[in-house]
Amino acid sequence: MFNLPFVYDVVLHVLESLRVNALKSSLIIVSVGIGVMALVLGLTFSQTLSRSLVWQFENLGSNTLTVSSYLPLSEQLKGNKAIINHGEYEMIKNAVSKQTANVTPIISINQAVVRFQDKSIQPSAIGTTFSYMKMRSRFVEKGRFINDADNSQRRRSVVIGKTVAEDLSLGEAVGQYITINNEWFIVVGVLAEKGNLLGIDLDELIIMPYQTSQSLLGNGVEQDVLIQMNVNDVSSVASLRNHIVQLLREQHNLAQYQENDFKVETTDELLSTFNSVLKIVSITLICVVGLSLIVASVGMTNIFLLSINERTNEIGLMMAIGAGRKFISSLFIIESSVLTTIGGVVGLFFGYLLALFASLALPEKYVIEFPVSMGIYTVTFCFLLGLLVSLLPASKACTLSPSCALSK
Amino acid sequence: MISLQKVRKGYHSSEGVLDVLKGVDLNVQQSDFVSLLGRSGEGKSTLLNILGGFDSFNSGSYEFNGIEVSSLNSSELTTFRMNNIGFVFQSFHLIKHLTVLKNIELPLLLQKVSKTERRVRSLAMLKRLGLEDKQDYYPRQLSGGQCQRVAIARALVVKPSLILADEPTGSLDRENADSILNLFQELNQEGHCIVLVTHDPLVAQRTNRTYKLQQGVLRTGNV
Repeated sequence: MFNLPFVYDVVLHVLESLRVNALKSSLIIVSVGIGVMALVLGLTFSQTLSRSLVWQFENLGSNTLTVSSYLPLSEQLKGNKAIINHGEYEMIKNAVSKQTANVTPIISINQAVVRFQDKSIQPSAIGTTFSYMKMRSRFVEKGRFINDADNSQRRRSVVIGKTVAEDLSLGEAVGQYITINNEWFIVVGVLAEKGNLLGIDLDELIIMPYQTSQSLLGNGVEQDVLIQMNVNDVSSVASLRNHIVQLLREQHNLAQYQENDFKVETTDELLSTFNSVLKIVSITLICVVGLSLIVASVGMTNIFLLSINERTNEIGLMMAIGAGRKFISSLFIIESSVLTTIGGVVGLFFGYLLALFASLALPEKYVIEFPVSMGIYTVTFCFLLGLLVSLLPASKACTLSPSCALSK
Repeated sequence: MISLQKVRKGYHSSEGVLDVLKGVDLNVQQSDFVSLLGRSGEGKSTLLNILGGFDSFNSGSYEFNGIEVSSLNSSELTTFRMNNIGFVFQSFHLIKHLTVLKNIELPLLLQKVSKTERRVRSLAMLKRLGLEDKQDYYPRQLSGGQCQRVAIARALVVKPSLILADEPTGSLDRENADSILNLFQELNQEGHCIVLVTHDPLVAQRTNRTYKLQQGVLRTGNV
């Protein structure tokens, strides 16, 4: 029943007519191609972001718990504030010390003004301990990381990111003195480069000892501490989490009906927050591109309908010499799906090429990822689009009366 | 081979039913070369459409080699046309983006004939019609007479039992028309059955038998 040489001949015949109508063919290929290219660029972009997120958190394994203060926006608007203070950090640290390692406190120092000679910048600044280095894999390239002695003695020593060193023109940064909020600090190390994440420069960072940051910020305002820890035994993550939740609820005097004003999350949950944002971006993108493809497909249907009018004679002749309805409609269906599929492949190719070019501007670790399955889906989608677009024109063509078609 | 009996065909119009064919009888034998002569509007095209299996009729019967054509469904009619009838049209109806050779191969493609055989048969047909040096030309590069020869080659290549020619010389000058008519005569002598529709008595004279179609009635005609 299925005659392969015949199908091959028919496809060749169709390709011949596509070649002759090169302008029409290339317009359709371009319109599908641009849509697919936009899709590929967007998806590659979000995929890459998602990958680099994972990479940022790579040392935060599935055994990592993050404890942070949290208030829903509605509560924040009421002027309420939630924090986890130093005392609670100490309490949690003591309570979980046996089951955990690297319990790391992190305080962000808002609006830290950093000066060197006549230069002044406002990078992100945090106060933390030595374990931060391992936890976040922020290793130093030059000098050393802040250590426990820096912390316990509240030394004025800092580790800085590359961007900070460059912006302040520190030259050989280690050993230089800078001021942070008018307090003198010595640079003891420079962090290895990490690049950008969601437009945030991860190298525009200053890290000082946790206790130094507390003294710098003064005792007047209670500081909000973010705590991260590695749980020794992965299977006890859940129970430990419940334990911490219990402790903090008691500490915050929360009644039964009140929601937590803090979050205890695993890395997966942290990542999923970011990923859900990315997913929304991706879905929006797919919708926009899908919509533009629908618009394009209406245009394509129109082009095919017009071309049937132009080719009425040809269709009539084909019918006269023995082409059945199936054959006539298959000509148009093949024609349209070949064009949209080629458009899809062309779009994929150029989209990926552009993404590769764009990636040259990113740090090495941002590898452009475009899964093969995504390519297959895209091309299949284009093929189906071609089928869909050709249905109306094909049915119009095959219901022409041969005598009428020939007399036109 | 062809036997039309009391074929009636009418169209509905605002003034009621308009009878185009009023009980046409026609018998064509295997070796005939018949012309159907008539002015425009007399029902020539309708009769030709019925003979070609393009059009249905209201009553009567049309037998082709013993098969009642009116009983065939749409896909059977397609096969019937493909295997039995070669069409030659006034305006040639060559596909302009295909070369001469590919135009001739087209009906064989539809018959699912293999590529090699298609080539062999089409080239043989081109040679028969004296167009062997034109195989890679496109229709626009040919004269009207040459185009009609290509169209005849396309009709003949499937070895049809009947050639239906609709004003085949209508678009040609006298010289080319003559040569096409000579070709038809030769083909008829080779055993092809030809039914030719024309409005031109001079063309009709060149055929073996002429029928006159007047106001939907077919009569054996003296030109």
